[in-house]
Amino acid sequence: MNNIPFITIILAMIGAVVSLLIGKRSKNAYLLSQIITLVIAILSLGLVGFFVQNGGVITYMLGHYPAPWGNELRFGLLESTLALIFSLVMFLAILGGRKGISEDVKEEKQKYYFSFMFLLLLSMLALIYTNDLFTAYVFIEINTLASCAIVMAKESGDTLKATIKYLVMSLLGSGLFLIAISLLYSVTGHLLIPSLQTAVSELTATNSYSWPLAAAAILMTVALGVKSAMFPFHTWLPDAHGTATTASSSILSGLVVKGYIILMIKIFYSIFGIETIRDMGILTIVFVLGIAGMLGGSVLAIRERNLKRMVAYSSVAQIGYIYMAIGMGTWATLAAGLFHMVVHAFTKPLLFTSAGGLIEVSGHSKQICDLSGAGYRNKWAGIGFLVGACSMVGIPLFGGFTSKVYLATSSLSISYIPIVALAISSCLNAMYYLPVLVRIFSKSSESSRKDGEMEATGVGYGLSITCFIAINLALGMVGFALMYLLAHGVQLL
Amino acid sequence: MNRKHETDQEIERGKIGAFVDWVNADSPDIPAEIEYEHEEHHGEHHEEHHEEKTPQAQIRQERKVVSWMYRGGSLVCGLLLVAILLFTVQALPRFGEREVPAFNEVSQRYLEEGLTETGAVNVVAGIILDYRAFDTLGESMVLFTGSIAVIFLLTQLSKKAEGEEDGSKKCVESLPAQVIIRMVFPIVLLYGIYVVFNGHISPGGGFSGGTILGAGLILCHLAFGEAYTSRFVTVKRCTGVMSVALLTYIAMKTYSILTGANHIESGIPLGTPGSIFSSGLIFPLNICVGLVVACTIFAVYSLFTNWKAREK
Repeated sequence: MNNIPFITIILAMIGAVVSLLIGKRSKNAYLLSQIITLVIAILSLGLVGFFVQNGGVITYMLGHYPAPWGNELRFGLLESTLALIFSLVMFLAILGGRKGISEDVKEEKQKYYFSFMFLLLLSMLALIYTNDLFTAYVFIEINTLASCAIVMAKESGDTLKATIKYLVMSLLGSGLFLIAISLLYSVTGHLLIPSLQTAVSELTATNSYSWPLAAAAILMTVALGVKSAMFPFHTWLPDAHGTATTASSSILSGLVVKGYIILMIKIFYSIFGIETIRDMGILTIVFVLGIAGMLGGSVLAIRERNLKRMVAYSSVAQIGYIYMAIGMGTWATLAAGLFHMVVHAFTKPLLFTSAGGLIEVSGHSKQICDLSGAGYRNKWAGIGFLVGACSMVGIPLFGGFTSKVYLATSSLSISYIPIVALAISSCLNAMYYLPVLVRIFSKSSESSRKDGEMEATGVGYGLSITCFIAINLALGMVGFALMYLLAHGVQLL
Repeated sequence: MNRKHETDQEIERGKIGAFVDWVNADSPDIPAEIEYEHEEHHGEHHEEHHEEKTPQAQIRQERKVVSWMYRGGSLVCGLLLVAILLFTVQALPRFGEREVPAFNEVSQRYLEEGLTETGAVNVVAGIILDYRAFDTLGESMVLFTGSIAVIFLLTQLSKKAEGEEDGSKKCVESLPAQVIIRMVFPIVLLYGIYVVFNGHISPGGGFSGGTILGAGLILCHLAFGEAYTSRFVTVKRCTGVMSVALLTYIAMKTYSILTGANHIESGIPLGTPGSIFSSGLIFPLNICVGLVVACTIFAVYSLFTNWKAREK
């Protein structure tokens, strides 16, 4: 059992290399990616089952040398649950975006695209499991390069511009993170997270090196904030997510930004300790920026008339929810924030996949006004978008409602601001999703376009949408099961 | 923010008409991609560029102001960051002293036990390829990611111009350079191989040796052009070699990590420190890393030069 995380990481690594070798026909690379991702999901499911039964945390020695000398993985309920969710979302997003990939990416280059998918999955698994700050940095690099590569995969002018912007901001984040690691190393002499924790708590107790410690904490927060599109640093997101091919958009918004948020939670709770972070004032800033993101992202989404960019701006708002929850700094809000993260990880890919389908049957126009009746032309996409929008707005029975309830109840004892912000933001969400829903389900007379006839969607597309919808409903109705896993998992951080 | 300049259309219809259109998600009179030039930093600035369209001069004026504001703002932010970081460095423990926190049991064991535990005379090789081998595996994957990203982006461009392929044009075509490089090239390769093979005994190793190998190939490419180098090394072959080397690397490391984690003896002899076949897996791992690095460097270089030549 305790070999599973390492085996999943190695499987993804092997997949990344092998898909280049066998990928002469893109179908092989696609099948390889789907099979390996599914195997990883099943293995992670086994691991979740193991931890539900036995509880506890396992540290895993990578090689023949124990922790401060060698590398180490550390995993428990939280890590294995997240790994399961990430690999599952990856599988479904590629399944649903397959058609878009074969249209947007040239046949002989698709093997590279699937290789990037493997690299993303591998880096996110490693980010979840690692117990060493420098290992985290190495895999952040892989993540940065691979996520920029899947944005540019479409090779149009827009995507190249968006990629350059994304690359510059993302590298800025990497650089700040590296500076922060070296600051932290020179005052503590450690890179392993538990050793860092003891060293940092000793330093804060004796009040020495407080300035470098604070600088390291702030730099890490900013670095991961840039990479995960925290509100004022979000400007790369709508371009990158709004122009890339459907599968890329789903994975970038559903998964990639989440990996960095998890790393930030690890840094807050396992290295510095949440009380130290609170004393430094970082939590308040994260909280305020989270609320600013909730409102600002929604307002920007209302102004947007390009469907994919609108959905991308909605991500900014949803990430704001997560940061608001982290910024309150209690176990309950943290678990609620993670729950919202999972809901968003399942909903945003659904929205992007459906948006891709709607755009495809409307003559490839991304403008919302061109989408009249698209929900009838591609029924899967229409229903998927409806469910996704309901979930994001927070209609009961859908995942988003449960997560908003958890967010609200967990923050009740702290302050009234989060609830007011939640209410306003939900209204704003409704304000930009409703017009789109009205538009795609309105049978206007002039919508009898030449390309308007029903387009056959593959089995994979329907399957992917169905799974996403089912998971969304499950999260909405029996979300407490996941909440149980997360709430027990965060205690072990 | 600045909503003075609405489009004529919108003024005609009035606010309510615009609102109705917005509810119907109609009237895409805003080009979707207009915001590229200015929205560098702050989300709030998006809003400025939506509705200003009519008087060109005024827009240009405003853009100028905005762009100067951005430049000034970024300058101030950058200087502030530099100042804070410099101040932080002052507060750090002094580099190289005995009492610094970084001098602890971790580096002590590396230095004292490194030779007996890894069998590598070069402690750095022992650390990166044995103690912290997982990090280095990740680092090789970073190189792999970077090189396939470049290959992905630039391959198509070089294919397009395959018709007028004439490799000899792109070389330096200087006789002295060709003569000298003809003499130097084998020595450079030999030296690169030496550095890779002696990575566990002397300073160097896969990363530095691979760089030397790659630089040698680049020299050859510079002097004799692509037509010559493509006889023995092409981007395609680079990818192949890189993949095989990485797979070997992954296989070896999987074996040693799995045995180590499950407390099984790996059964790989360490040999006598100082001889070429010693220090267990570090020797073959160095060769793999060297191949990956050399292929990455050469592939990236040759793709970029081809692309440039054809753009003209």
